[in-house]
Amino acid sequence: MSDDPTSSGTLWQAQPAIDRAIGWVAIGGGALALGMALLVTVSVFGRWLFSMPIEGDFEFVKMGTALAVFCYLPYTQVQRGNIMVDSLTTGLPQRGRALLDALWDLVYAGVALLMAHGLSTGAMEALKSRETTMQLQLLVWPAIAICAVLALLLFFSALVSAARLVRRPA
Amino acid sequence: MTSLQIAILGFSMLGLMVLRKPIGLSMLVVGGIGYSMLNGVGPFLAYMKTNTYHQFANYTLSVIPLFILMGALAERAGIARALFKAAERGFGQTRGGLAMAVIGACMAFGAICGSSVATTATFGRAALPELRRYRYDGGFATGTIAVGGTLGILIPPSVILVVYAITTEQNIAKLFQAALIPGLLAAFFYCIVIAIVVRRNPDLAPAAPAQEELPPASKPGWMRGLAILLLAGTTALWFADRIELTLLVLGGLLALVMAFADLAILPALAIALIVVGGIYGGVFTPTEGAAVGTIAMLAAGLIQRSLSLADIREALRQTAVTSGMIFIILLGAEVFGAFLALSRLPTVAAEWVGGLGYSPYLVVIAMLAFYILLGAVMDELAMILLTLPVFFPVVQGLDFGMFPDDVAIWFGILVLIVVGIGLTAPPIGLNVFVIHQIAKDVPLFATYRGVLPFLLADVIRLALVVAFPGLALWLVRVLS
Repeated sequence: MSDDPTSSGTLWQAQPAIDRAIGWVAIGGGALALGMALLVTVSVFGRWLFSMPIEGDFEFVKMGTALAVFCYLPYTQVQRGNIMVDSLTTGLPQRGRALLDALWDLVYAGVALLMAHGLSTGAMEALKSRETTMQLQLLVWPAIAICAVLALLLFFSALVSAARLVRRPA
Repeated sequence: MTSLQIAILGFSMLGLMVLRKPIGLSMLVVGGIGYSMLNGVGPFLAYMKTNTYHQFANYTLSVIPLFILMGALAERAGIARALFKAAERGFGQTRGGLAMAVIGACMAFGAICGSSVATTATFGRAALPELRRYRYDGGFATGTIAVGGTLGILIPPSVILVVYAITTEQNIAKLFQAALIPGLLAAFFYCIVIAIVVRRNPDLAPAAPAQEELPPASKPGWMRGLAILLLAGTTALWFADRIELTLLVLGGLLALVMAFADLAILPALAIALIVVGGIYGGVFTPTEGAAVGTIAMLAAGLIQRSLSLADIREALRQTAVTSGMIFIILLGAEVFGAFLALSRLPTVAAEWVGGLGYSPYLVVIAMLAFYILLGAVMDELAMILLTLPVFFPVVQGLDFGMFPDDVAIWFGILVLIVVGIGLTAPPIGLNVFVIHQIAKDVPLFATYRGVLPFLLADVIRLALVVAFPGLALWLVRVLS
């Protein structure tokens, strides 16, 4: 950390890198959804033409959905895609609205941290109990662990967007 | 404090939403605090441990990102333009025909897109320039597109219906079936509104394009022959008991499209028929339908060279933002719903309303009126997720002389119609804002004035479906 008050904090300096990471993670989540669609399509055609569906495709879909959604959440946050009621605050000055948004971003960061904490303990327990899916016996803990990491990314993305609002009000 | 008092306190804490607190976050925080107050912090932390994962690792929920991805790809694949050109040929000569063409094309697009915002944005780009070129009144044009956009959700597939189905544990396929006739009715009513409005004020739609100005159809001569062959083939197979009735209907519809529509819209209509028809006929689950539709849309776009790599990347990004927005609200609604269930407020409310002795229809009408008011200031998706945990048990507790499942489906369609109204009605109609972003030169007020006559038609349609539940339930019965 430098003494220069305009560049205090490594988080602020890491901002472009976090932004890029969030963007790529979102695209990755989208690609995962596309992959899921392909898998299911192949399974449907296999079932229809040769009575040979891909066994347990729904287990991949379940896991894939959770992973994809956690990939999306940080991107939605930095794109300010989360819906809120803004019709009753139009009278506030720009700065006031930015500070309100920053406050809720901090609350969201707290919730994300709680989620990351919960998911990491959940992953540990699933690792210990060697919990698997019903049909394919896929281990569940890696998926939960990845979600925990992505929840941590959500925490950082909420912090970054809060910092941005405080620094240069939109 | 009793659990009911805590629940009421929770609802008032949701009031922080007026201070720009994101809706999903509000429900998460209030739900979390309420849960901890009723059951203790320890159980809540245990609940959070894997619930966020298991909540999302849900086969039914996977239809949401898939349908959004399918719509995002369709938005970029030039499907809307082709549909509009085809509809323009059909309606172009009548007065106000271009506006009717917007409604017709939106209806077809609604069968491959489950989001009204995406439909509005797509047609704002694909059709608005054409309407302006023929000197259509600005507010009439934008109003028509904003209203046409609601067909994105009114015609199945529909993200709103999926969310309703998941929250109330109803069958998505049945809700999609029930939505079809009211959805087609909406498009029909909108065309009537256009005809009346234009007759009363011809200045709104001054010029009809001359025949030679209309884009030519791209349809080779052998297409009709192929259509007849397809129809004959499927009928023969059905008589021989080799295929089911649904496949015959699908084949017949496809033949109809091939005979009368042009080649450019064939991929769009084929995808719509496969996805919606396949889900209706029980050929596949909604998730499978969405997956097949997504891949078919991607393939059609790549083959027609209308989807570039940049388009696909943009579609993935858009899917991320929209799905992320929906899922955080879904998570919030789940936690909030768990808290409400603990507080027993929904059960108490259901018993209380049931004990008042009002006519069940009056209760439903009051709820719909409340939705229209709330929808004026709040996002519609969040509105239904917030209220359904209380409203749905109340509705299920009332006696309409119908099976509870039928009531659930019927109420879902009513909610869908009200959501459509909320998307276009002042002061906050999301579709109106979307079209305003695209056509900044048309004042918001003018668009709202353009929307107004359509809203009247919406209210009439709502009243019809309230009075005649069969409009929604008939097709469900026929198909089951």
